[in-house]
Amino acid sequence: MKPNAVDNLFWALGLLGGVVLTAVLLLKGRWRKFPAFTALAALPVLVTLILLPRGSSRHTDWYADIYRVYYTLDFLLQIALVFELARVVLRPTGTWVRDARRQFILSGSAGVLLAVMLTYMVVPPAPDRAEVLEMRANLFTSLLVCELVITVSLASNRLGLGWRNHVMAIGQGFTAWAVVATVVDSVHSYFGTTRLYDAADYVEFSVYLGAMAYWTVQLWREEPARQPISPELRKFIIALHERVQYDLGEAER
Amino acid sequence: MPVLPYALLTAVVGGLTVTAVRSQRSAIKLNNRSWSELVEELHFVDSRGLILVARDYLDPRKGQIDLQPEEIWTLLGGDQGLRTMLRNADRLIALAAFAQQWNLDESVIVAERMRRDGMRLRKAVRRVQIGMWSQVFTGRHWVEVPFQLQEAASSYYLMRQRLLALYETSHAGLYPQLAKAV
Repeated sequence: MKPNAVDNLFWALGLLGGVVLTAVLLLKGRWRKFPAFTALAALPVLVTLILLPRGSSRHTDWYADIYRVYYTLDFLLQIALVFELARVVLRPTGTWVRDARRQFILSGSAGVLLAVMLTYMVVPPAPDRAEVLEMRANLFTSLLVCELVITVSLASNRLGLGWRNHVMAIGQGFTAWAVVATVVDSVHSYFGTTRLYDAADYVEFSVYLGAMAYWTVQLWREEPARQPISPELRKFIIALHERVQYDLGEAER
Repeated sequence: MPVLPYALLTAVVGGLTVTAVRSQRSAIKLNNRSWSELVEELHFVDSRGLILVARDYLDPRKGQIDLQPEEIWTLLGGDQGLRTMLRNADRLIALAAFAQQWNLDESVIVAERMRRDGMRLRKAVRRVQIGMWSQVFTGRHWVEVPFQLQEAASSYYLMRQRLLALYETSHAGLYPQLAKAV
């Protein structure tokens, strides 16, 4: 199917947004803390740059192969981003916050099972098997990513862990997009390619563009600086850390 | 087209959407709460009874088995007292986490230690509640209940002490208000 003017507009805006966001992440050094997020932002830009010079040969097998690799990498990077968020939020001292890992693994496993079950049960109406498979794969990935990112958010709230500005912005944008992607893929799985297909895609892409703009602004800004710790408090906390081990041992007896 | 899979899918997607909105809202709320708001959210716990039970358990002395289960139950304020401790536990952790804005990662250690106490507190209260329900239905006393009561009291006491110690050192100005609240 030949792309129309709206498709081209979204494509151009997506490319522009991706370039600006990637530039901000690289120039401001945010990629050090969020490598998976940076890779996720840069991947569509890279793919477009590879495919752009071959615009007229869009329907070749080569084009399809590149896109298959792209979608696989995109899915893996989304999962990596969820773990990146979990690492920043649920492992503030470099080790998992007590109970967070267990909760994350349990909820994540339940999420995988639920996504597999729903994807297996739902059979989208489509003219050929390849399209059915594609829609099922999209539904599975969006359900899984959505469940996992919500799991991170719930775990951090339950454990009283605050989100600093940058990770909060990434989490919010990613959650909004993941939820909308799940709704859109559910709509696709019900109506197939017959109704609302393009309209639903435009909604999802609009949300993604909005999220990109939000990320760009938030990641351009610096996080508010923390006040330095006094040497007295540093000594106290180290002493407390040691004392706590003893207290906990007593409590566990 | 079968209805059940799509009904299930709609329910799951609806649930995910509502949960996502709620969790993001509470994350924002958690980040925007002021120190005094957190302190105001603390409910009254009888510190005299708490200290008596917790010290009896953590710092055993002569006559260490003198405290009877009924007495422990009363000193801790019964079921209501346990529920208050559970509610307060999250706020105590939030108060410790609040200190992150002054002292980087180190206060995270204190918050993490308190979180461990909080887990122990939750576990103990859950077991007490199971024990009490079992007692209602079977008419038999659950021997574990008094031990779990002491466990709950000592966990809450440790959380309280850690928080007070942290603020006493880092924010002497805020300490009296906090000491009064907890």
